[in-house]
Amino acid sequence: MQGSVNNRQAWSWVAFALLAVIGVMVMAVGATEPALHLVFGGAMLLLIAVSGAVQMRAQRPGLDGATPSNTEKAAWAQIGMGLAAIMVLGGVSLGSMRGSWAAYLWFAMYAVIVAFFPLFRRRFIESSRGYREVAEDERDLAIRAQGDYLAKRLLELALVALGLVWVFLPGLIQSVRAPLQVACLLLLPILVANVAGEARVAWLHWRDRQ
Amino acid sequence: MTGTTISNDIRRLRFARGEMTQQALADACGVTRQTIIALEAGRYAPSLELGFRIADALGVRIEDVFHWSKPE
Repeated sequence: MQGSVNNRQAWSWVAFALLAVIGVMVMAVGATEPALHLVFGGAMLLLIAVSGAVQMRAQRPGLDGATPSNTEKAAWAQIGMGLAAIMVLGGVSLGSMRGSWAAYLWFAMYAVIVAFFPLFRRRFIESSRGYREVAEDERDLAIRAQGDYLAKRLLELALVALGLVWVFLPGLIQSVRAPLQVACLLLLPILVANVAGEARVAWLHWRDRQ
Repeated sequence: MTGTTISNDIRRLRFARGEMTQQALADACGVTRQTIIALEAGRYAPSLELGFRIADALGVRIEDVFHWSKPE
């Protein structure tokens, strides 16, 4: 049992290392082309690999052998999903998959995830809870409130920053013209704010266990 | 979540009550074991309702469990 867990962890480390190497390679290709969406995609792959490695470290038992609660695990999972969404939708806004059906498919998939997100999250938490174990208690909700507050403030600031760039530095985003690109660009602040909020939730949960 | 001015004797009272486990107390109070751990470590100040539930589960009065120290 312990051996299989160690094996799984070892393979996870290998996967994250591989992802990081691919990310650096994609960034290098993007820099030599030059293609901004490749540099961005590579950087996001690197960030996903780093966040995965951090998650692996953070899930070790802490004080009194406390393992992560289901809500902490959900927060870590949401960080990974959020970074992947930033990579894909950010890439679309920067011109990758230009005009292809794949871009519309990713956008539609994101819309479905957003629409049903509370349901997905609830199912994720409930699926891993044990007999008589509560899914989410008052401390979880208090921590979540802190994450939500950070996400809300960051979203406000990011939208203002985006608006300022649009008005005063239009040259920076002049390549963003197609409706799908504009829509993806507008979604980026939401995704970034959500990832930051979830990172705060995960961090607070982790700190409570140390 | 953060350091709090409310301290508690949950750990001592748990052991006094037949070495009740953190999970058993958590189940009795309707919270996660991680919350009991955070409470015992002084990292979380519970709501009044949870405070009463913990005291009830430990079979003591709430003032025997929680103590408030006035901030300087």
